[in-house]
Amino acid sequence: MKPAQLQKVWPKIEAQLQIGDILLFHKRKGPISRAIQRETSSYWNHSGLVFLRKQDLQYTGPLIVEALNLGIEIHQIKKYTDFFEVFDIGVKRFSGLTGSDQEKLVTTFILENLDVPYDFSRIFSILLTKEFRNYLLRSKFFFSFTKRLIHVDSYICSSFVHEAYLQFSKADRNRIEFDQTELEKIEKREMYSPSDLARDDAFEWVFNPQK
Amino acid sequence: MTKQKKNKFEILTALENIHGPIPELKAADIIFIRHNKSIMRRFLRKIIGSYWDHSALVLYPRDVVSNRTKTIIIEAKKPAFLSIIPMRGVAIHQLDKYTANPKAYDIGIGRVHGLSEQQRERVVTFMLMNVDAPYWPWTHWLLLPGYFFKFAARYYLNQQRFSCSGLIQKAFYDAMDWDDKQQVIFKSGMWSPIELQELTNPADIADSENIEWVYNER
Repeated sequence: MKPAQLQKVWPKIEAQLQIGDILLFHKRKGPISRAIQRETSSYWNHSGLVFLRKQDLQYTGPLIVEALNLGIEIHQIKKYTDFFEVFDIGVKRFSGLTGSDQEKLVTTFILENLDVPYDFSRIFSILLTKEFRNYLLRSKFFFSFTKRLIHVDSYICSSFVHEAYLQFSKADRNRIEFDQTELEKIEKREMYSPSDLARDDAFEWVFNPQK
Repeated sequence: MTKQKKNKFEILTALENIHGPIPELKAADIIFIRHNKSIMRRFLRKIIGSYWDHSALVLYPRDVVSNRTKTIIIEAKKPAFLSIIPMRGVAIHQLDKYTANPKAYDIGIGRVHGLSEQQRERVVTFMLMNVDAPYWPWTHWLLLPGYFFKFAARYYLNQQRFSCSGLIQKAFYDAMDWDDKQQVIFKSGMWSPIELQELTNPADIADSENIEWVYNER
């Protein structure tokens, strides 16, 4: 969506955000974000979750939680929404999320995982796997390579969002995990990227749908 | 060192093994922090005349009943001297970052007398509204002359800034109704509200009569 158009519609969308809503970000410039967009064949390169709504804080916009280079952190959403010429933003929602679900999401997952380190080697391995799998030994070798690089106790942006929903909503696990076998589920979880969030039918688009 | 068990579900952190278990905390409790491994923090402690050199505030206390096993704090902090990481400003973290490493940190905890639940909530909301506010630091190179000369220390302490303790002072001051503001002024003497925000330091809060100590009094 173009910056001027976003500027116009965003205040309305921001007022409707709910705790646990999934935010997808597209950085318009920058080599790393471009690489992620290209390798995951997606418009989006980053993701986060709404931690507190606008209504909860009176004078400022919502707070979001995201996995960044220093780990899981909470920030003001305006770090993105003040710069629409740099960022585009999309919103998805897990339908049927009750108030107690939202509270559980915050207390049992987000707060418990604050400061957990960012998994740099995971993002490196995802990019490397996608870049080279067409050229060398196809995917088998690179999947085993990737698995060695992943730290299961740390996250990238999208694996944090995905894991949040898996943890708090065990009853709905099957809705969120659409893969068939357990092994595929585990692999999928660990390799989950912003593009998977964008394409995942378990989450409905609220604003700015893009694959 | 043997680990004492806090209760059926919890294990003491490394710091709790030294000072004993941290009691049940409340939102808006004040955490005092001492950095044992920083030379600049050592200068700062000398200048302000305190055992403590940093302060933070409890946002969400540990609550085992609702499955929250970590205490969450908020603090205004510049990372490290000469750090290449950009200034962080006001950020939310787990208290564990300080209690897990007693060689690097010591902590004490204070509580403002007689706060109602509504006042605590207002303090917490104020702090949350300031997440990402940039840190406005004391100039580090002035710490050195301040360490040796009293006049330099006085000059240093009178500089305008937005710091860990300044933010805490402002949060409490703004959260109170007009008649209750005196109850949360930590710096002794006569100061305007703006001066209070800019000049209050961790020692002022730690030494204030408006604080009662709940853990590791110094």
